[in-house]
Amino acid sequence: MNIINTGASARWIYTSDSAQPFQGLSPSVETIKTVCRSHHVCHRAEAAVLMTGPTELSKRNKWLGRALPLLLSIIPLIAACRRDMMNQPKAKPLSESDFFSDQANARPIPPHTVAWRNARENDAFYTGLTNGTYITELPVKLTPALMARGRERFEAMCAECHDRTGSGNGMVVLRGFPQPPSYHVPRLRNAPIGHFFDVITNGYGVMYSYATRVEPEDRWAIAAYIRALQLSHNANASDLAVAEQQKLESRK
Amino acid sequence: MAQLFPKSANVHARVTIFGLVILICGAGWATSTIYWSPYTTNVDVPLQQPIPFSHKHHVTDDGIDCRYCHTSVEKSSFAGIPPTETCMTCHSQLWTDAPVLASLRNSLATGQPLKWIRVNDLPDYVYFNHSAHVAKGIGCSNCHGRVDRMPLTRKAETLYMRWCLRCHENPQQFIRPRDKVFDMAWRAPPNQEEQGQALIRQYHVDTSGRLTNCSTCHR
Repeated sequence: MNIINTGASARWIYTSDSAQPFQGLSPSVETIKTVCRSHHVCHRAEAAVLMTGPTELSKRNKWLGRALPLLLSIIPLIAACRRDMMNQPKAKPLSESDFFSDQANARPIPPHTVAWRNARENDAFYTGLTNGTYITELPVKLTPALMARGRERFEAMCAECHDRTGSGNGMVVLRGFPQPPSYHVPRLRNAPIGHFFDVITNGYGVMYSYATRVEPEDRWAIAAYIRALQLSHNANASDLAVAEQQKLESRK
Repeated sequence: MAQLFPKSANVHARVTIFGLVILICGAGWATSTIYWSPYTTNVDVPLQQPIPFSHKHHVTDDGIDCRYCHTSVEKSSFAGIPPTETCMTCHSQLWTDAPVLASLRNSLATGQPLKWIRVNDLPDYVYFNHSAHVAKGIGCSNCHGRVDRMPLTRKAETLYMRWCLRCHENPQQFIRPRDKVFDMAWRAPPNQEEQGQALIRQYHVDTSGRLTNCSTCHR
């Protein structure tokens, strides 16, 4: 009388998918057959049953009984090597869609909708206009931080064409893009500040709209910085405070 | 009792033992070489794009700022790929007949987006945020390399987790002043260690272990 691991034999029987292997077993292993048929082999894996003597079958497949559990334990590891986790079926920014006709998951805002907290009721702030005329006063508080922000944005978004001094000799212009007017011409020096905001928002001539690229707050910061650039090219020494004037004189 | 083994058995034994050692080491070496090679990591391998866009030309030759096209890099987890409209801001006037830009003009005419191939593709179980890194003084070139010198865009780093951890464990070695984030030519100064520590305090980088916590990047 021997005790063998029927779990192992059962697994082998299960994988062979036929009743043939049972031929070699004595009638007392009927339980295993049942296990096999009901497809619940795994639950019996740890079970050991008493058998009436070693059968040819159990001897022959002893190595399989050892190897199969090993193999079975490796399969889940290999199964984990699929790319599903890497590329999950979810929409990420600008990912490709097989649902929308333009194949883009990023959707445009539907017409006549207002994003939450984005009612934009302040016309002067969001258009640079009040009752159809450009505003002449900056609708936000002028601070050194705003000016610094304006300079940073101007040099990132505008200087490509307008150049860092606002003369309109930016690198892209040197490469053949139509030259924009200098900020230092009288027409633009006298233009109300709302004009600059409007041009950034809606474009002007060959200049495209920057509404999607520059936030309204940043557009005002840029407009304020353009004013500073204009001042820098048209300042008189007499505009300075007396102390500053004396400092200037001593540098000469 | 007669000799059981012929004399040549000594040679066989040595060849087998050393051969086995060489084989195992060789297999290890081959595996690691393949694992770290561009074949697996795609580092420095330019991908076939719908338009052979040159960052070198647009950034170095034309002086265009990173944020001109990647507008959401400071506000969003995603840096943003410019819409066709951004390209056409200049190319409605420049190179208007260039055959290489035909698909760009077609995209504007039909509204079908260009299909750029992702160069830096993190696995979907990693939640990377550009705005957080930019706000805390990690520059573009820290991860993307000298994009301003790439005629064709390619990955500069493996983006493996161990590579991320290099900085998440020692941010003081990599952090830079915020106004240098978009400076592609920035290099760590000799006193980077001290400056980095100062910047970590200044930018409130939490070094108490949150940077290496699993759920910081994996949710």
